[in-house]
Amino acid sequence: MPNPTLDSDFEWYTSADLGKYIGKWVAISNRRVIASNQKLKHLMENVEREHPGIRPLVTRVPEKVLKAI
Amino acid sequence: MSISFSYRKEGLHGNRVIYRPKIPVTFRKYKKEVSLIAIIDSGSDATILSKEVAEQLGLAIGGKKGTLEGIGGVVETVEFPVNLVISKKRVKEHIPQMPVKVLLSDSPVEDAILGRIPFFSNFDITFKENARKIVLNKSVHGRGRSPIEIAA
Repeated sequence: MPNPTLDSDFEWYTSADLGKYIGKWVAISNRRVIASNQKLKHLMENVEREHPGIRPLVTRVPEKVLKAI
Repeated sequence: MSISFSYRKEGLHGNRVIYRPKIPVTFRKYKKEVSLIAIIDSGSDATILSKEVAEQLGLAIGGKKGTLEGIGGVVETVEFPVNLVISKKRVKEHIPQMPVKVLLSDSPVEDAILGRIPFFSNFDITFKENARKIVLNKSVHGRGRSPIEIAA
């Protein structure tokens, strides 16, 4: 099933200040962070429990460093 | 038809920011799916998922084993086919059964890296560095041209 807010959530994410979640996974839906956790598995369990039916956009918030992948 | 995404602004130490070419993607495997942010990396030979994302998709250990070498050294991987969807507004592109390499290490730099094999084979990709946008056009060559060839 498609995520109806994916476009809007990504647009919000491109400039969102997620500094307080560094190192954590965050779940984004309707242009806000609806859950955060150190582990993706627990994040998705939290979303299922607290926001049933929501299919969030998820990402881990990176450290404030330059990267060479 | 093209799909464009703005770069993501991320913080650096010293009150500086950096703009990175990240896009929203949905990975599907059977009935499980995860929509997450992936970085587009033309310097990566492979398309890579972290172990955490793979576990969320229900990818059991047991795929094709291999290794990848990067700046951090050599890491073990297992390869699985997954379905990838990229969409924006009414445009939707599917890459079915796309092989991804799952990193078996626990501390990846990124959780989803869209690298050349096979992601770049499916799209003509423009990095508009000054406009801070990335533009994807489905390649008319499809998946016909792998960056790997048998040497003559």
